[in-house]
Amino acid sequence: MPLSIQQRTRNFCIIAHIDHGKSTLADRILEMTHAVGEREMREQVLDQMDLERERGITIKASAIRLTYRARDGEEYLLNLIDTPGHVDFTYEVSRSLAAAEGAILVIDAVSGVEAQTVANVHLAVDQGLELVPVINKTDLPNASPERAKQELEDIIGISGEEAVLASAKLGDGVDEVLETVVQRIPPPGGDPSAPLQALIFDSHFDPHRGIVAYVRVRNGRLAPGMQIEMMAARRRFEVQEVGVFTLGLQPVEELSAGAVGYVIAGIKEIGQAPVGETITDAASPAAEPLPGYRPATPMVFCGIYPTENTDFPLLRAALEKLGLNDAALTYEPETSAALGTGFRCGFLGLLHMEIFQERLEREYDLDLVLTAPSVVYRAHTTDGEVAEVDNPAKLPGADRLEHLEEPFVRATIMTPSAYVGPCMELCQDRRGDYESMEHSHTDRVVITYTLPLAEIILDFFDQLKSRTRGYASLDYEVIGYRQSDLAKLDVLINGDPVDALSVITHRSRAQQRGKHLVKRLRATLSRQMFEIRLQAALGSRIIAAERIAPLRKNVTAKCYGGDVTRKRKLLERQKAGKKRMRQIGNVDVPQEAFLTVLKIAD
Amino acid sequence: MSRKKPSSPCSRSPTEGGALGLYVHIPFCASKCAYCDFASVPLDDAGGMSAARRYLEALFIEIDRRAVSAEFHGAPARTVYLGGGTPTILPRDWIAELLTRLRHRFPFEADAEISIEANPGTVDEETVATLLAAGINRFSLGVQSFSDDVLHTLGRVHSASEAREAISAARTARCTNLNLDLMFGIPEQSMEEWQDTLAQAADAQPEHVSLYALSVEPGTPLACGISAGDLPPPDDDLAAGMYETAHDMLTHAGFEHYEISNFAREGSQCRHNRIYWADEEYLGLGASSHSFRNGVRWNNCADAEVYTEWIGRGRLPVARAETLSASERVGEMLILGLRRAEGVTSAEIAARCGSSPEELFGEEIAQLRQEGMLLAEDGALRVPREKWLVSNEVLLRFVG
Repeated sequence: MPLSIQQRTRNFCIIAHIDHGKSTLADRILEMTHAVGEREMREQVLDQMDLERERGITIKASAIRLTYRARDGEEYLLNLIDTPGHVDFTYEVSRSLAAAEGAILVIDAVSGVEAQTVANVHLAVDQGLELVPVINKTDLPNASPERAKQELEDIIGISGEEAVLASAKLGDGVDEVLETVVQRIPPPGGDPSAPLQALIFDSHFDPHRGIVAYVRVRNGRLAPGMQIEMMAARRRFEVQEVGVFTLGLQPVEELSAGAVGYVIAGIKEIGQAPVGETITDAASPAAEPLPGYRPATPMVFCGIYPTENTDFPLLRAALEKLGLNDAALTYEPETSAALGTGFRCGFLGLLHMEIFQERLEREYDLDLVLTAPSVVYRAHTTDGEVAEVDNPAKLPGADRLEHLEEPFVRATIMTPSAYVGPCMELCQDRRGDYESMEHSHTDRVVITYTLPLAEIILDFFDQLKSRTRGYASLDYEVIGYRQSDLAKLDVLINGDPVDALSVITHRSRAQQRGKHLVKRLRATLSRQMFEIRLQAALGSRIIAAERIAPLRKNVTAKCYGGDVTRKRKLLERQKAGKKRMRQIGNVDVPQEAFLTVLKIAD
Repeated sequence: MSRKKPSSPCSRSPTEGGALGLYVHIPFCASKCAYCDFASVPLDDAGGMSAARRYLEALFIEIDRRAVSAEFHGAPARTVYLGGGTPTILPRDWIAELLTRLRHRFPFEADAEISIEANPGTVDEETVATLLAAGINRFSLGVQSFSDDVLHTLGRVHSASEAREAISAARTARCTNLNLDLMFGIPEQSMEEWQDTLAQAADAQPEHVSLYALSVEPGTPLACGISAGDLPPPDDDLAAGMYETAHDMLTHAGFEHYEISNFAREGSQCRHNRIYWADEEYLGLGASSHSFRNGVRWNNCADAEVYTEWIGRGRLPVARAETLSASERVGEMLILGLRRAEGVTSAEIAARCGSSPEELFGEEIAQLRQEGMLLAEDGALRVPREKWLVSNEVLLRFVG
């Protein structure tokens, strides 16, 4: 008896630590299954954003359906879902995994098992996924597949024998990878005749058709004309189109149990079809929604302000548009005495924040001021209330403050043993509590610390990389709130506190932090016609100060016939530059000054 | 011609269409200095000399074409300025030929000021005498410094003793109007060195001294040296101190500090440069020169070879032209006029532009007066002397 479509379907993700060659492997698979013609083939097809290609990282998950004729002579339908490899985007990985039965786990044959390899394996195992380990980049001269296999056994607990050796770059072993996917990953279960249950695992916004929801059908059928209901939100829509992912969207007659595809149903906002929602048939609804999974929780908040206050409506429009494609972003209007009207935005991490800023500036041509990122603190007040504080400027006054709590993470660092010392020093230096250390049979050591999240979002990752010559990798998960001895550090320019420069810091670090802060701030300000005093204060106590002497010379000495136009243009440029700065009191403060608080070590 | 006549953007003043300042650019030097980003070409071989000759021929054509054009026909020259580069690197008879050509096309007024820039090492007594005989009456010597170390940093080809020789050669040949160019704010230049240079300059008793604060232009060898860490970047505070020292020493020696970077003995202010600062009209000839006539500014292409080629193809060498709006013109008159000790009068500006500075920049002027950055006395606006070095702060308010 021929195999049914369901039996010939394989839904799988590719997961990996960043830079281990995930997108390259995806490209080779696309080529080998002729999903893309030679002509359309360009590097890393699935990374669609310019930014993704430039930075060489995958930010958004994306899916594609392929057909593959296996050695058993059958033609299989493979739904491949690419996932991001950066710790900031772990939630994207978790939602992609929910749509699959298996995952290709890519491990770099040179660098071996890394922190996100482990984190992603945990996510996949939690979802009950079958893993196909692939040791990639075997073509490199310093590749060490045997060591990678050993680490696979020691650290992850999968037999090294199961790993497929490949070089995605050269295309070697890719056929073997596909065979293994077909043989080892089970076909999707589910009953096509049961009531509809389809999980939304991603979406994007199309300006003409509204939300395109990416779904995995668990049970039942989904077809145009059906009335569907969002089980959590209880909202109903009529299905206009269903389809599968080829290089674009390809409509099909129906999606049934086991299928991965998309639904268009006149949904206007991302909030009406959030990721994790279960779609059912309004006419004969399922009894239960599918189990949801880890929702995106913004961890890092910062103020985003237009440099020109008149650009506020443009910023609002840009946030609304980008928000349609970014389920993890949150934003709320806020006002700063120093910066005017803007938004407090929540991000998954610093990379997410940086990418978002770049998109705002590049795609919407906005000049922005970003305040230093902050975590969410919990302020316990004397009257017994608990306030969530995502902006240091909003911390209740010392007279009303009982104590503060901050979020902590469990950080896993994997490093060659030679760098254990520097890694531990860094963690201690960042208020870390040592938890454990494990050695593998190879040179790899796994160190676990609990650390305040606030210490991680500063320059922890950069420091870790520089202290270990790039060899250590990091993953972390939030483990909850703990009380800390924290204080608000204010910055005063010529005696006036600047709300947008306030930071919350551990009291024992306040002095040092204050010193660095005013020093760095000093470096970003240009001299002006009068003296500028910069001070850092804890409450009313000044703990650090710097001064900037008045400007003594700014004139270009000579100016003759030929120079008039040039001189005028120069003055016009200077004036435009001044306009891009923020005036605080009568001091011109450039954009980058607001991020000086980011870097705490020189 | 690649530009249009202005459609009277601002009312035409009686001074327009009259006598001119003529500037002629000679873009050749013995070698390129470390700080130079001007359009100049090292002239070190026979091939260079023949290129220079072709350039001169092209210059003659531009002179002829401008002289017969409607806007310049018959216009007399009040001043002539041969600048560079190093004009004195050309053979003396070429310079005489150039002056003859100019005088023929633009009748020189009887008391016309006729200047030439000269670098020490390129002029001896005989050269000066020949050029005086050819009509030159003002020499501007690019001394820059009397310290060999500083000259070395600048990449100048001459030495301090050659500078002294050039001065005495000029005097022996009876040059009666001599300017010395000096530079300060140079990496590794000390205050003591600067004081010594100023003292030697004052002792030489020139009629005029120009001071330039070094500005490091991107792409020059000097800029490269600084970014590579071989030289310290210029120290603005030290440069400010040097400027004040120069003011004190030179005014004490009897010079009037009549413009931000210029000092003169009584009756010896540079008339050519005063044309620029008063926003009066001038015609620039040669590569990279700038002109201003009937409310239009234009500049020629910067490159000498391109210039020669364009002229050879029968086109004017104009690279860009702009017609100033009334408010731009007022802004420029302020930018230029406020460089002078006496400042600029509102009446002068209103007569030229049709609008007064108070009408266009009333708020800015009031604000600047309040900040003590601007004085308004006897109908003139001026920047107080002690604020000259930060006058960009004032000028910024009058642009775009």
